Amino acid sequence: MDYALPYASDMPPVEGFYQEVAATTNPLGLRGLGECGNPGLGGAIANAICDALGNGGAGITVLPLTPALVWGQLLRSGTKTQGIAPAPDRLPARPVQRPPLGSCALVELPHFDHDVSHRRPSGLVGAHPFHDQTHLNGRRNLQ
Amino acid sequence: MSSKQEHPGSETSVVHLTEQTFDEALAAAEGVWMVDFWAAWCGPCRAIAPVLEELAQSSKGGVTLAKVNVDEQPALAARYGVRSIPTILFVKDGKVADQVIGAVPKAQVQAKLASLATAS
Repeated sequence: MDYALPYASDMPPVEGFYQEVAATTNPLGLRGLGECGNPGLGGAIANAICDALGNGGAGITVLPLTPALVWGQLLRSGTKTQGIAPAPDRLPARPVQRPPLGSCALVELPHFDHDVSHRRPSGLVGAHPFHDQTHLNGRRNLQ
Repeated sequence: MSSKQEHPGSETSVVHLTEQTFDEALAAAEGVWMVDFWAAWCGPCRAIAPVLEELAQSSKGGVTLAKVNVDEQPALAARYGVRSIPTILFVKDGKVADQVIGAVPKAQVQAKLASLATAS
């Protein structure tokens, strides 16, 4: 199944707040700050799974969210699991496709079936593996 | 027809191929052709470009350098399964005989050309 990447217009309102947890690795409890969008990703996925599981997912508080962890939580919560195949301990590993050293990857975007007229057209676009996507803005494929 | 572009200060002729000219050019190709799939935004492509031009020039006509801009010719890139650039196809007698991907050292490209030159 192909998934469209969310755009800024897809974002719901976000409420920000400070969660003050002192680091234990230095006397002042200081933490570095950088790429602060990334730490929320795991929590967002966990919340989505909890939401999908209803009451059965309320006890999920740790990462990574392996199939075994989710299955175990369902069993502990008493959620009806009859007729559902147990999850494997591990999902089969997928080989990571990386471009050869000293080259740039050409990424084939998925073909969208639904109305995404405001989004990018399908086709080959380039992505440098070592940089963010902002440099693509000037590329003709994205016009 | 494919277009040839003379580089200032160089005797190297670079053939810029399109979807319309690719098959015709390669069918009529003599000797070994290096077909460089590239893009202007690709740093490694810019790094290896002068190396390829130098090798083509030093071959004194034995090796022809052709370029395919993947932004302008995405169908050609897809047709040859190009997923990373630079990808250099080595074409001999109209058929793709070998390829290298990435800005490899000059010696590696030379080895490919030497191998093709000695192959019957």
